[in-house]
Amino acid sequence: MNNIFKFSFGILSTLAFAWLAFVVGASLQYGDLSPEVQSFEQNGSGWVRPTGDNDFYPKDISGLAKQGAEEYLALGCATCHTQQVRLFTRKGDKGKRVPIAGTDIERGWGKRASMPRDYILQNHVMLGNTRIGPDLANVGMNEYNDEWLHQHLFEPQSLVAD
Amino acid sequence: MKDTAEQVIDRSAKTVVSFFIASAGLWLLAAALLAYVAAAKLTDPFFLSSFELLTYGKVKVAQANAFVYGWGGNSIFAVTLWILARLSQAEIRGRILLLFAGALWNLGITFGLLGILDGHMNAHEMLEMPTSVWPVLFISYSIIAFLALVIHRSRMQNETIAPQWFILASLIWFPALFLIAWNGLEINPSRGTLPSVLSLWFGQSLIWLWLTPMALGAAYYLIPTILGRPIDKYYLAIFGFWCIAALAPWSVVHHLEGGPVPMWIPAIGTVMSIAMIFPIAVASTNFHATAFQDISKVWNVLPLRFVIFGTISYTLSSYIGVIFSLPDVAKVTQFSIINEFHFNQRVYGFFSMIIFGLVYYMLPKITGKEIGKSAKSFHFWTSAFGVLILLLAYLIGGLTHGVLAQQPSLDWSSSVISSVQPYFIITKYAFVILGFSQLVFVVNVWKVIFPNPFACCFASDSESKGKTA
Repeated sequence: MNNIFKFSFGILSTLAFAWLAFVVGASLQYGDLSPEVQSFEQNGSGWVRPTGDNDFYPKDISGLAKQGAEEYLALGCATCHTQQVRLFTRKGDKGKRVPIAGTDIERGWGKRASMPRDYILQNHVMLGNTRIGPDLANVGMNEYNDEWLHQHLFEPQSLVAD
Repeated sequence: MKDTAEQVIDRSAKTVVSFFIASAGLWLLAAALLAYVAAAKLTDPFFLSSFELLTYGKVKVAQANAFVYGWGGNSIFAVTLWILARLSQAEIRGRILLLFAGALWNLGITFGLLGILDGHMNAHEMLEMPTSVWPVLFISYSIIAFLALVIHRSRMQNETIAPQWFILASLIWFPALFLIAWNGLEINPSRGTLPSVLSLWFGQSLIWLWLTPMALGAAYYLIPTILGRPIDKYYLAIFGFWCIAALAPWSVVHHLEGGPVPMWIPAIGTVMSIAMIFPIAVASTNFHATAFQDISKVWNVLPLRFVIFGTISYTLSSYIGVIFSLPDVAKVTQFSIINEFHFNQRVYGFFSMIIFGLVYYMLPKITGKEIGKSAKSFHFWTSAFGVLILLLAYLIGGLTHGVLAQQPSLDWSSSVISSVQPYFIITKYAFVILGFSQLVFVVNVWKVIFPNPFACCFASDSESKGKTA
């Protein structure tokens, strides 16, 4: 404790362990996720990946959507909105936890819980930590018309009952 | 003989510490103003709604950064330099360099906040200031930390004590945290939710490993110094220190419960959060067992009253934090305004209250002028009342928010959010009270540091000339 170098080594090594887990370990575990085909085709030798590239997930979003993501970041939308449908589980047989449809899915914020692969093509992943507004991970699932969206962004009070 | 040695140290600290305290005060007021604007926007969407610069999301983020880096950073520098100098019985050296680095730090934050308001925000928690200001902040921090370590290395006694461990650890942890986060987010960026894990880890660790140890160190210094009695069960302090060092970096990730990350990350966070009971109990025992031996003195000496308010708030709210890290509770509350409760109890109720106490103790010693008793008392009562109202509103509001959000049948904006609305209104008035309270604090501090406003202008002129020369 009295030697500043030994002391620094001690307190920095506790940080280094956490770094090994959350940065090195996590990236070894799922840092190399890539877009994956969603369905398999059957041919003579069994199930194989389709040859075309029409079926990959996730797909890159359009330029206009990317511009929107930049606006979302710049305006600090992530202060009030999350982009993650949480995984809810319950204790199943033999004490194993099985996924259930949680309140996020019941609210219609997605059809399944968000997975790490959903985010791999995004430039800025903003999971968010507060829901003063609803979750927006799958907001594109809903069918809004352009006029409604425009009015909702500029004067929400005129559309949503308070 | 001893008195004169302390006076020499205090004189060496005067300019530098005054500079950091004075700038910390200005940032405190800026943060209070931004906090009011953000709170007012939550209750009235039309408030200042014609300025894109002042969008809620930007103001909220700017407020957190002004508070943590502006007020927190500057006051941390002042506290570190003065306590280390006092405990080392060594003078502060490299004062011109310290002033230069301090000016650089404040300039960096100013540009950083303007950058946020202008729409150049980063997506990383507590690293939202634009990428270009961070090297400047890092360099200025390194200069100040280096000169603080120089003071420590020139100490008279080889033996170190609890306040020194906590303060030095906080001093060294911040640049380490920053380099880890900067490497993983900007230099070698990873894909998917990996940066989210890292930025959450940085943002939460910043509170646990930078602000918290600093305030704990200040409390470990002030309580025995003012009471004139040793810390009760002092032998536990080293255990408490290493518990924080070993557990805190792991415990912060419980916020990711149920998120799109490997399940072991929030699980390990929960386990370590529960284990945090040990260091919280140690600090609480050390502080309160000592303070309650002489409760009348704690009540009568105002700096100590601030510090004990801070330590009690630390104890209570840290235990509350442990409860909210349990997975079943977290699922209900994790995305509610309970997050505001956690942030504000730590930076207002704990860190700031202890720093206020320390400033009231330190400032008369280095300037030779006392702050008026009624002003101090007003500041204490309004701060204590304001913080209490703020935290209660966020706690009860957060529980309401979380529980109602779990009812899918309730409409989001017309049922869930409008039920939380009353609590937003309460927090708005709490921020008004806190704003006035801090205004009184800052005006009094500035009056002590610059007794003659005209002399102040000339002094700062010659200082800035000294810096550029």
